[in-house]
Amino acid sequence: MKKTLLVFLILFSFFSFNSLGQNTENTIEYSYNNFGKKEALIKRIEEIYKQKKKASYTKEHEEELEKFLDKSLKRIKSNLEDSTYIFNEELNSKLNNILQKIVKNNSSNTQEHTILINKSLIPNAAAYGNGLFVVNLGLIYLLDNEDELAFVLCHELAHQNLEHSKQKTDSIIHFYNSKKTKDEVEKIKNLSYGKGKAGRALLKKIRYDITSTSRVNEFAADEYGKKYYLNSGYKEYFAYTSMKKMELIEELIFSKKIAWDSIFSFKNYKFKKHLLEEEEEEMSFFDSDATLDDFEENNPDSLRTHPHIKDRILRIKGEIKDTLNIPKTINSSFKKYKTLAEKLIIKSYIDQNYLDVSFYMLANKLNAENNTFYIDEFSRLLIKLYRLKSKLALGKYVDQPSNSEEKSSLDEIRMFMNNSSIKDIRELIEAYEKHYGLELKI
Amino acid sequence: MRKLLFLTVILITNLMYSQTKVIEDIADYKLLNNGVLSNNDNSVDGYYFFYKVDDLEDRKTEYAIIILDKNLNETARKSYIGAQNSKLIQGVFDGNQISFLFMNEPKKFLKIIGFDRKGKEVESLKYELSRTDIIFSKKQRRLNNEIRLIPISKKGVLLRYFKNHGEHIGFISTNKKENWNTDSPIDTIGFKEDLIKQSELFNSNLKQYNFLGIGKSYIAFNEITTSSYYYGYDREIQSIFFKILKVDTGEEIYSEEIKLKIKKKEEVKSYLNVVFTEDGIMALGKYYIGSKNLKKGKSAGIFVDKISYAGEIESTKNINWEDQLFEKFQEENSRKGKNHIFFHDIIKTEDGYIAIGEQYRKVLTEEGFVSKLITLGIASATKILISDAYFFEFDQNFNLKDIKKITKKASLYSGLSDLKSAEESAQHLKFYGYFDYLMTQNKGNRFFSTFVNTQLDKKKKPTSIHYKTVIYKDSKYSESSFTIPLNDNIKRRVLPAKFGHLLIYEYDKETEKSSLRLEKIDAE
Repeated sequence: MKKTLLVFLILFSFFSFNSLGQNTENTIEYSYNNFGKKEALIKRIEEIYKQKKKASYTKEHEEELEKFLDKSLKRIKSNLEDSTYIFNEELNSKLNNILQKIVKNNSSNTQEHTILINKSLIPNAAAYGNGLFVVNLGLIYLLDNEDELAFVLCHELAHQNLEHSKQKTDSIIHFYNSKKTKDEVEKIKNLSYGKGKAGRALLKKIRYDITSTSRVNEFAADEYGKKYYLNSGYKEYFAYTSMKKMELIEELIFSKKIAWDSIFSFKNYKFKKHLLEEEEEEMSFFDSDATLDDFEENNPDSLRTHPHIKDRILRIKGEIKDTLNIPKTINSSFKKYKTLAEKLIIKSYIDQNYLDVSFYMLANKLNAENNTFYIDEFSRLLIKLYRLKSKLALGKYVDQPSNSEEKSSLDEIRMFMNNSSIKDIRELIEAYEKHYGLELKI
Repeated sequence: MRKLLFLTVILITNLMYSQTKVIEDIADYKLLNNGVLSNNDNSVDGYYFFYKVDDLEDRKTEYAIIILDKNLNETARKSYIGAQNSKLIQGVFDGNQISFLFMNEPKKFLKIIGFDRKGKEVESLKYELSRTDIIFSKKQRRLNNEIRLIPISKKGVLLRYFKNHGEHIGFISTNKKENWNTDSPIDTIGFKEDLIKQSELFNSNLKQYNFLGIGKSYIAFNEITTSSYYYGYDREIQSIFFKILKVDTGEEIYSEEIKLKIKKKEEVKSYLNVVFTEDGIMALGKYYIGSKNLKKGKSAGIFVDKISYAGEIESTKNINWEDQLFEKFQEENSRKGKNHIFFHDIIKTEDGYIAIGEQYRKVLTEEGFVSKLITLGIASATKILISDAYFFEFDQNFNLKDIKKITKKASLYSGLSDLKSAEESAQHLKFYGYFDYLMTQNKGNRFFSTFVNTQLDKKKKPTSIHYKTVIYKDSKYSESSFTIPLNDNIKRRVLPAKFGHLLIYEYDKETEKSSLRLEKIDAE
């Protein structure tokens, strides 16, 4: 997961502007359906898409643009149905308040703004243009105070005001539908050999053209975003720490070493420590740990939509001295939003059966905070594990441990889930029930 | 999380236009086949996916081989430029290198390419074939005799292939020792590929190798010499030798001719399984008394020979069905006296050996009887019912200690001659892979034996595949079973995986997505 997460981050994230909908399959919890707000929201989003169609730069490929936007709208609507976007009164209000404060201090634009909260753990935000924004729960979970979150929203607002989403949509439509591209495709189709290579080179070129514009736009959004940020009275230092946390994400997320035996220390229960270890000796095919790749077109650097975070930090840090040790500056009033985000992530990850991340996030909560929420969620987690193992379906949702020599705590818990027999899990559930005086239905 | 088998090399965010679809189609890798990187103890080291990347000049093609380790992590994406229409047959890992066996039908050759531990391609080996060799290889495939690579731990690979109507074994060293090849008598006759004369094939000493055991340094097989490799009335077995070879030199350390003509009360052995242990080589088989019984395939019992690595028989033990073994086995089942056991494998444990078998018996079914009437006796009224799994436990000296019965779903097979004995029919079923037994993975004092059984509805359409794994651990047996439903929308297959696991492959027709996931077999 950690590796997947990092690759994902490199390729697609860090407060982007976006012209497309997300596509994640989820189960329902904290759904808009349960709050009677869905219909009004859909109306609002439909209105946004109407504006987007009218406001497009290009008249050349109108039909393609319309199809593109219709499909994007359909995806957003479907993500509202499947609870990719969740509703939480406190979090939604908080985000809206911050955004309103920034708008009030910076712009005469009276456009209505709509923020959707995506339940993903990946720290990311996006501006879809015409007042539509998405903020992932992972961003609120990672950041430590309102200022840091405000900087991200300023960056997204800058994307919107600079019309980056519109530009991107336009350039995608243009690149794929221009006469030049069509001629090149025809030429490639008629090649007697080397079609694949030429096709991939063309795709790479188009992709590069689109992403290089994106990279330039990111710097612009940082620059304008920082102005909005300072105009709104936020502290310059936290713009820097906000960015720095993105750079240090690997150290901040999933890096904590967890003593699993102490997490599973229940009365009259002996935790089988060997379940955390690989049963079989690892046998690598090659001496090198790195993936051997003969195909240079897979180089992720050429697919980056965002510049390297280091370059962005250099531009926005001003006089602040760059350091690897950024102090934790959790604002007490912001802490409740962080905790809320964390709880929502735990809940939704258990719902989606991503049990490894759920175990990791719950690990230190169970003993540290005698809170019924965590106790109940841990119960749900154990029952889910039992059921998935019984159906031989755990592998659908939980990765095998990574092949790196040093196993992380996330790898260890994956190993534990994989190695445990149904009987082992039943014993664990029984011990857990006794420890907390519960009666669980498995 | 399950691994999606992506076919697109460059992923573009949420593509939605016909134009990009066209470009993607051109730029895609096309998956040609995939397989398991196997080792020789029925466990798995990884998986490979073989893609066509591009047509190149001079009728060459660029292929990509994507290698996943046994935990489904991608470890390499290698380019291979070869002749057009190359077909990847198999991949193996011997600890020194990954070897891939290719066949090119139009150009008529077999080729082995390898990647060393640094991921570099090593010099390839090419075996020229004739058109007849290719046709012959395909016919053999239908008889479950496949061209195969067999990895020999840290030493090299054995190649089993067909040429000039005979079977051959070649050894390719991966640790800088000499390669060797079994002799090919027919080569000396000057066989012409387009002119097959039966007279040339008679008495031509064609070889066939039935592997009985593959160890870290030794292999054991039955070498059968026949007048013709084709099954038919004119096929005559000329000799059978049970042989043990040292792999890296090809040196024969043991050879025993199996008598084909025996007297009325004479005893003859048929070797079925060989296990290489620290104490010596254990060879297990059935023995027959009298030519009549041998012809009928009616064995008198089982035997175990202990052979030293110097090639000396150290001990022989016969266990007569009537004396001991059969009695105890029959006590376990309802149709006393009617049941037989077919041994698939023998596993060395800390305190002895366990022979793994399946119970079978001949049954006369009503349905079979009706078909026999309708077809005026042509159809077979008898069927073979394969039922429970049996584990025969022996001590170090092959004294029977216990018999463990594991109940499982039954399978019924027809199409066998009424005149064949039950044991003869069982040999036939084994040959065509009709027994439910799939494989045993063995590690230390534990093993997992898996049996697969397809369930049919009233119209005989397969509805589900039932898997039962018998787990032997700490001298105790446990079972784990699961059923994979079959439906028209999602295709599912179960493939071998690392020790104690199964790999589940799913293809969703609606989304056109394939996925792979590893699941651990539950050992309570």
